[in-house]
Amino acid sequence: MKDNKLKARYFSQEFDVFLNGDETWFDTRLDQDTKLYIDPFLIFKSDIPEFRNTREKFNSFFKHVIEMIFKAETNSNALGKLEDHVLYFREAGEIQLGDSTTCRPGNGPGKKFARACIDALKLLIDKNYRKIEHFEKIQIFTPNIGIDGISDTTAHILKEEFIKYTQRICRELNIKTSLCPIEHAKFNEEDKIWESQTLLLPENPFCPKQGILLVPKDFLCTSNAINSKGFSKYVARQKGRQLATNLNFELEEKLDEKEISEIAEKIIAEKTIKDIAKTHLEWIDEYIEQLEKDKSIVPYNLLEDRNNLYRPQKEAYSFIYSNKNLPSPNIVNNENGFITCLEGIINSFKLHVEEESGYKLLWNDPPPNENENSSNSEPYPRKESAVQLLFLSIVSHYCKANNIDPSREVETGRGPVDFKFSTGYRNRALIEIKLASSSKLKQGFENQLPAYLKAQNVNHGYYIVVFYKAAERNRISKLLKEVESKHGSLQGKVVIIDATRNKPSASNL
Amino acid sequence: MPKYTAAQFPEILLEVQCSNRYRAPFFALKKLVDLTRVGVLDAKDFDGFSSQSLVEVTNEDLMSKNEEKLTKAIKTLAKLSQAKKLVQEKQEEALNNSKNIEMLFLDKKLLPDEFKKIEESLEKIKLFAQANLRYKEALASAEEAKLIIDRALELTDSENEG
Repeated sequence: MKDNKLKARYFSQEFDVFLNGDETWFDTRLDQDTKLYIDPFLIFKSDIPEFRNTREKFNSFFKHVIEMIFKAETNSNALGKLEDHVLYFREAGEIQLGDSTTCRPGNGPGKKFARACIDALKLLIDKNYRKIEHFEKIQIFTPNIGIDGISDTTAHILKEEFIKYTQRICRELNIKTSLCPIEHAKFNEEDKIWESQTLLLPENPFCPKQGILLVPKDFLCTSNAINSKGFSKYVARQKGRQLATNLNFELEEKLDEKEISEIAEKIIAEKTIKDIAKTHLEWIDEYIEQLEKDKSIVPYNLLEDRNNLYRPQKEAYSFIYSNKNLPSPNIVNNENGFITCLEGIINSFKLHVEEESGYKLLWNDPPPNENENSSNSEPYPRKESAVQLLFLSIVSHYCKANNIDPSREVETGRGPVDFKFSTGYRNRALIEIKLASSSKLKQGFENQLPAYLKAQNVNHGYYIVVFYKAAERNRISKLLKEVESKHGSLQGKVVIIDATRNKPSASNL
Repeated sequence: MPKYTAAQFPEILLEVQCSNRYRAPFFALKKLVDLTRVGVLDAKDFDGFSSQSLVEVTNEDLMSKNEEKLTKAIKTLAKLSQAKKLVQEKQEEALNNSKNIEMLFLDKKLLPDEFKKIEESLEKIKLFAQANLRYKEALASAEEAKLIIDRALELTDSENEG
C-alpha cells in the first residue's frame, strides 16, 4: 500500500516490477494511451520467440481476405462479412497505444478503414498480387488509412502472439493475472471469423475486466518505416527520369541525377504520390526491398524520447508516486496556506530536477550523426517549453491533491503568463519560467512579471530560472543585482534550478 | 437480444444487449467473466475459452412442445372471459329494451318518438345478441382449452405427496 494514495499509472508500478532497462517490453501507461504505434515492419525484424512467424501470419490472414474478395464478386454476403467483421477493427484497447485519452478504447479504424482496405486489396489483386506481406504499404496509395489504423490492425492480426508474449512475461515475473475477455483473440481460418476468448492476463486497474497486452519496445514507432513521404523521396531519387518521361516532360540529356530528382519532386508535388503509386505498384515493392536492407530503420528511442511522448510524463509521475512527502490535502484554506503549499510544490519540482535525475529529462541526446566525421556528439539542452512541460507534469498531481487549479499560458491583458495557480479569486499566483540563457531574462525580472501581476491584480509572483551551465548561474546573480540596484527589491520571488549535467555522484560528495 | 449457453455451463444463460451478431459473443464472454468474479464459475476452467464454444439459444429453443398449445388455450379462455363479461353487461339493458318491441304488436297507431325508441332498442338488442353469439362460440372451443390448462396445472406425483 502506497502512503501517498496515488494510483499506480504504469504497468511496472501496478505490478511492482523493478525495471533494470533490459526488459524487452514497453512499460505501458494504463490510464490512457501513449502516442506511439506498432510498426509491422519492425516486428518482422524481431527475434522474440512469439513473433518469429509473423510474416507467415500476415500472409495467411490476407490470403483468406483475398479469397473472400474473390467470393464477394458473386456473393454479397462475403463482402458484408469482410466490411462488418473480418476487416472491421476496433481500437485494440489492451495495448494502450494511440490517441485515446482514457483507458477505454476509442472507435478504432472501423468501417471506413475496412472499405479502404478492400479497395486497396482489389487494386493489388487486379495487378496479380496474391501475397500481401507488408500490408502497411497500402497507405501509400489509399486514402483513409493512417498510422493508428495500421497499428490497431497489426495488434489484432497478431493478437494471439501478443497474448502469448504477455503471458510468458507474467509467468517469468510472477505477475498476477485475472480472467479477461479479449475480442479478436484469434482468427478462425476455417470459418473465416474472429474468435473472442477469455484469457488469464494482467488486468487494467483503470478499466475493470480489460486485459493488458504488453508490446515489445522494438515494435514502437511514431511513423511507419514504409510511408508516403519515404516513397516520394525514393521515387524522386530513383525514378525521376522515368516519371518525367512517362508524363511527357522533356529532359535535357546533360541533366545530372540531382537535377532530375528536383524535377521529379516538383512533379510529385503537383500530381500527388497516391496517384503515382497506384500506377506504379512495382515501385512500392522496390522501395520496400530497399528499406529491408536499410539498417538505419530502428524503433522509436524511448530513452531519448525526442518527441516528449513518454519519458517526461513517466519520470514525473514516478517521482511523485514514490515521493512520500506529498503535501496533505486541505492545507489550502487561506492565503498563507495557499502560498505555503505552492512554494512546497515549486520546491518539489526543484528537488526533482536537481536531486532526482529530473535534469536528465531536460537534455537531448546528440542528434543522429549523418556525417561520421562530425564532432557534434554532445547532448544539448532542451527548450523552455520542455521545462514548462516537465514542471506541469510534476506539479499537476500535487495541485490536484490540494485542490489548486494550474492553468498554462493564461492571457493577462499584457501577454500570456506561463502559469497561473489559483483556488478561487483570493488565492492566486503567477509563475514565469525562464532559461538562464534567455536574452529576455533581465526584461522578465524588470518588466514582464510585474506587468502581469499588475494586470491581473495578483500579489504573488515567481520566477523559476533554470540554468544548464555553471557559468549561467553567475549571469543570473549579476542580472538580479543589476535589477535590484535599479528598482529596489524584486516584485516576485526567484527560484533558481540547477539542471547542469554531470552532477557529482553522491559517493563523491 | 441473443442468449448463449455452453457445454461447460448448460444451466446458465448469458443474455446480451447487442444486436451485432459478430460482436454479441464477445459481450457474452464479458458476462461469463462476471460470473467468475462472483464465484458462480471457476476462472481457472475458462482460460482460453473461445466464443466458438458458445451456443446461441433462441426463444423457440426455450419453449416446451406443448407451450404453443398452452398459449393458444390461454388466449381462447381470455376471449371467453371478455365475451361473458360483455354478455352480462348487455343482458339487463337488452331485456329492458325488449319491452319496447312489444309496442309493434299492439293494435294502435305509433308516434314518431315511439318509432325512434323502438329503433334504439333494436340496436341495443343487436349488440347483446352479437355478444351472446360470440360467447357461445367461445364456450364451445374453450372446453378443449380448459382441458389443456387443467393438464398444465396438474402437479407431479412427488409434489402432490408433499
